[in-house]
Amino acid sequence: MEDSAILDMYFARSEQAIAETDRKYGSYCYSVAYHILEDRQDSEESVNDTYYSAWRGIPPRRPRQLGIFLGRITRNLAIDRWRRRTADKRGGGELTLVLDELADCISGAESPETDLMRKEVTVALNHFLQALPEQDRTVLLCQYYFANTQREISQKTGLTENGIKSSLRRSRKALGRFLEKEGLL
Amino acid sequence: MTSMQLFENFSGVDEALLVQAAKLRTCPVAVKKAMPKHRLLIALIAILALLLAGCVAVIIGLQQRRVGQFTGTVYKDADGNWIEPTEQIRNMVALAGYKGTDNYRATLQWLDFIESDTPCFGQS
Repeated sequence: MEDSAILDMYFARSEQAIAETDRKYGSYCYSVAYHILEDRQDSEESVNDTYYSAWRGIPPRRPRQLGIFLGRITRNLAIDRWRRRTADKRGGGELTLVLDELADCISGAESPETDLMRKEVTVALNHFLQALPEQDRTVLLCQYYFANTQREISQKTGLTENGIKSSLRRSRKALGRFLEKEGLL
Repeated sequence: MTSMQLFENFSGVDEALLVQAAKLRTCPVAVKKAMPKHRLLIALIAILALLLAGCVAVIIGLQQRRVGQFTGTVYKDADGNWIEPTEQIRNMVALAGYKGTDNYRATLQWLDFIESDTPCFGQS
C-alpha cells in the first residue's frame, strides 16, 4: 500500500493504519530497534511504542517519507530504552562498539547538552554529511544511524569489510576535525 | 560531548540523506567486491599457458636442430650403473645452427663421416 493511503487512514483515525504500517514497515522498524537493543522483547516493545507515537503525531503531522519518519521515532525510542536498561553500566552489542568508535571524534567529556547545542551539532552534522562522498556517507549512516554491523553493511553495499573499516576511520577523523573547527567540541 | 550524545545527534540527520542511504542499501551496486580467487585462477591459467608455449617452442626448436640419427654404444643405464655395452640409435642435434646454414651442413658432413667410417684402431 502507498504511504499516502496509509497516511490518509491515520488522518481518518482508522486503526487499520497501524496494521498497514506494521505490514509495510514493521520489519524495518524492528531491525532499527534490534540493532540498538539486541533484545527481541525490547525491540518489539519499541516498535509498538513507535506505532503509538505515530498515532499520536499524525495528524497534525504528515510526513513526506513515512518510513524515515517511523525509523527515526524507533531509533529515538530504542536509544531511550537502551539508556534506561543499561543505566550507568554499559551493555555489550553493536551499540557499545559504535559508541566506542564515535568516541574517536569527540572529547568524551560529559556535557549538559542544551537544546541549542544539540541543534547546532545536528546542523553541523548535516553539513558534514552533505560534503561527504556518497559512498562514505552511506557507510557512515548505516553504521551510526542504523547501527548495522560491518558485515551487514558489506552485504548491503557490496564493499569489503576492510573497505568499510577504512571508510569509517576516514570519516570519523574528518568529522572530529570538522566539529572541532566549528567549535562544537 | 559524549559518544552517546553524538550518536543521538544522528537522529537529526536530514531526511533526504537518509532516503539516499536507504536507497543504496536496497540497491547494492556501489562498488563490486573484488574477486581475488577468480583473479588468482586467471593468473594461474595464464602462467601455465605461457609455460606450455615455452615448452612447445623449445621442443619445436630442438626438432628443427635435429640433423639425423646415429648409432651409438651405451655403457651405463639411466641410473648411472655400468651395463653390458649396448647399441642404441640416437638423435643428433646440431646446436651449431639452423637448417640450411653452413654450420648445419658441416654437422651433416661430420655425421656422414662418422656413420661411414669404420674404426681400424691403428691397423691399416
